[in-house]
Amino acid sequence: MNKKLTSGLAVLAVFGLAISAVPQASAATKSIKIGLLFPTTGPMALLGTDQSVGAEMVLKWANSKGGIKGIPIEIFKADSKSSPAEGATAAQRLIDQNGVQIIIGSYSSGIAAAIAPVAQRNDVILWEVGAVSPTVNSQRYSNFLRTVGVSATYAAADYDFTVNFLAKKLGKSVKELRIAVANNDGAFASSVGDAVNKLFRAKGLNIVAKEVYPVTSTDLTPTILKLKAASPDILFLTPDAADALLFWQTAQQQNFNVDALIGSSGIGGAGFVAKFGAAGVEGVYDVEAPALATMNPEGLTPEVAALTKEWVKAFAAAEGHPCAVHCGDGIGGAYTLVTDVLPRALVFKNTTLTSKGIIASAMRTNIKEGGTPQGFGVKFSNTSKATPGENERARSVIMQWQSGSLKVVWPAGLASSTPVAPMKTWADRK
Amino acid sequence: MFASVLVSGLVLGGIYSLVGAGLNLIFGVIKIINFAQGALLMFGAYFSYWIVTWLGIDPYLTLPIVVAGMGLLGYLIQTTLINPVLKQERTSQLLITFGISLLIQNGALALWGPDIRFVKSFVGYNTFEFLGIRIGVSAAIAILGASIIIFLLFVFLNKSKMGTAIRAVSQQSDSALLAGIDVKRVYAIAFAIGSAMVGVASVLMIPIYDIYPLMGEQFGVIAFIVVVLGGLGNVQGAAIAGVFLGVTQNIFAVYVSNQLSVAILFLIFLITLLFRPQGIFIRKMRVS
Repeated sequence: MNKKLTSGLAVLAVFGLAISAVPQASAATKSIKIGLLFPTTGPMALLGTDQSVGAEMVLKWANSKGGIKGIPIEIFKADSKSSPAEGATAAQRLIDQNGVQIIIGSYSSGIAAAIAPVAQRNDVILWEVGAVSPTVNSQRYSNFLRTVGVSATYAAADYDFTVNFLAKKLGKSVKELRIAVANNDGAFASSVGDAVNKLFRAKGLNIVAKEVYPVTSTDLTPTILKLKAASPDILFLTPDAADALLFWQTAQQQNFNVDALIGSSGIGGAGFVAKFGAAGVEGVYDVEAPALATMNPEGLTPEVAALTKEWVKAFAAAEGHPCAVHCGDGIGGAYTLVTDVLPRALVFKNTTLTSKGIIASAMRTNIKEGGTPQGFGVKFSNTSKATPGENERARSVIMQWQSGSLKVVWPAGLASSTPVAPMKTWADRK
Repeated sequence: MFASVLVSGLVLGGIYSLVGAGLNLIFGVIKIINFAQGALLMFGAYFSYWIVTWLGIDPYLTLPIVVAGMGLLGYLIQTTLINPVLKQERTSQLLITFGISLLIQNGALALWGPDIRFVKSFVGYNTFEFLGIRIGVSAAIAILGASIIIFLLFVFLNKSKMGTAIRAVSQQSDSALLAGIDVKRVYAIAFAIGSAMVGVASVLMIPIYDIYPLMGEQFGVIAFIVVVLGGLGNVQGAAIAGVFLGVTQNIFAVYVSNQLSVAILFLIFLITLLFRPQGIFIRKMRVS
C-alpha cells in the first residue's frame, strides 16, 4: 500500500471518526415529547388538575418562546384517575403510543411510586412536581427527579415555626407545649404526619397524641374526641381534601379548640374557606410549598417574579380560582425543567435528547433562592446520597388564613403578612 | 367520653340504617345486588344541591322533589335496564348495576367536575348539648328522618296491598306470579321505593356530608354490610344492624384502634358471611 493511499485512508478514518463523534446530528431531536400525568378525575382530581394546568401553562409558555433551543415541546396529557394502577398503565401508554421522553407528574405519592418503575424500565424521566413521600424513590431510581420538597420539609417548617414563633407567642417554653399530630392513613398524609411526629419527638417535644384515622372514615367524631381529651396547644393535621372539611366541621360541632392548628392539603384548599367562610377559618395555618397567588414576590428574581405574576393571573382567569399551592407545584417544577435542565441537556440544537443527558444536566442544576416561582432554589441530590434526585433546596412555608385569604407568614423572606396566634375559639368566631 | 362516643356511634348508625334501608328493599325483593346504590346516593345529593342552587331554598325543602325524582329514576332503571337481564345469567345482573354505577359516577364527574360542593341548611353546623354530649342538629334531624322513614316502610310493607305483593314476590316470586301478581311491576315499584329512600338519605345527609362524585362509594359498601348483617329483606333487622355497625365503629376507633375502625366493619361482614349468611336477626331466610 503506497503512502498516498495510506494517508488518504487515514484522513478518511479521521473524518469518519469525526462524524461518528457527533452521531446525534443524524438523530437530532425534532420535538421534545413530554407527558403530563396527573389525577384529573377521581377523588384527587380537584388539586391534581391544578398541578397539571400549572405545568401545562409553563410548557406552552416555553413553546411560545420558540421551544427549547428552537425545538418545540409536544404535550401529551393523561389521567391517572386517582389510582396507582391506572397511573402505571397511563404512563406505559404515554411511552408506547406517544413516545414521551419525560413524564411530569404525579400529585400523589402512591401514584408516583407506581409510575417510577415504569419510567425507569423504559428509560424515561419521571419529573415529579407533586408527591412528597420520601419512600416514592426508595428504590433509588436514577430517572426520578423531584423538584418539590419531601414530607421532611413540612416537618422542618413546622418545627422552625413552633420553636421560633409559636412557643414565644403562646407564652410557653418549647418543652411545655402540648403537641398533637393527626393524619389520615393515605400515603401523603401518613408521610407528613410521621415526619412531624419523628422530628418533634427527636427534638424532645411533648407529643400528647398521635391519631391516624382511615381516609374512608364516615365520621371523625372519635378522632376529635380523642384529640380533645389530650388537650393539645398545637395540632398538626394532615388530611386530604374531603376529610379536611369533615374534620373542621366536626371540630366545630364538638367545640374542639387549640391555640394553633397547622394543617395541610385540603386545609389550604379553596373549598375550605368556601365552606366555613372567612371567619370560620381565620387563623388556621397551612404548611406546604407556597401558594403563588398570595406569596410575596419580592424574594424572587425580577424575571421570575414577572413570569409568576403572569401565570398566576392566567391560571385564575382559566380556572376560576387562585393559583395556590398545587398550581404552584406544577408551575415551579415545569419552570426548572424548561428553563434550566432541558436547555443544558440540549447543548446544541441538533443534539439528541436522552435520559442520560437530562439526568447529567439536572445534576448540574444550581438555582439559588428566589430563582424559581416557588421561591426556593433547586439542587438535585446525586447518587451518593440516600435518596438521589431530590431537590435539596426545596422547602415548605407556613401560610395562614387571614381575612379569607391564605397568606404566606413564615419565613419572613417570603412572607406577605405577619402570623397571628393564638387562634380564636369557636365561641369567639360567632 | 364514653357517652359521647356511644351517642356519636348511634348517630352514625342511624345514617347507615337509612342508607341501607333502600338497598335492603331492592336486594330483598328483586334479589339483585345493586352496585349502583352509592352512585344513586351521590346523584340524589347532586339533585338536591342543584335545586338548592337554582331555587335558593333550604336543602330540607328539596325532599319531596328529590324523593319523587329518585323514585321515577329507580322505576326507569328497573324497567329499562334491569328487567331485561333478570332471566339472564347472574353475571349479567351484576354487571348491569355495576355499569349503571359507573355511568352515574362518570356522568357526574363529566357534568359537574371533581369539585367538592356543599349546602348549608337553616340549622347550619349548630349543635345541642345534653349532659355534656354534643350532637349536631343536622345529625339529629337525619336520625329522626331515618326512624320515620324506616317505620313508614315497615308499615307500608305490612299493612298495604302493594306491601303484601312486594313481600309475596320477595318470598316466592314464582308462586306470586302464579297468584296473578305482576312480578315485573312489583320489581319496578320496589326499585322505585328503594331509590326514593336513597333520595331521602341524600337530602338528610347533605347538610352533614360534602358532595362530590365519589361521596357515595363508602356508604354504598357499608349499605351491603347493613343488609347482610340485618338479614335480606328484614327491615327491622337492617335498622338495628346499621346502628350496631355505627356504634361498633366509633367505640372501636376510640378504645381499640382508630385506624382499623372501618376495617372492623369488613371483618364483621366476613364473619357474618361465613357463619350466618342469612343475617343475625332472623333464624332462616331463603336466598334464591
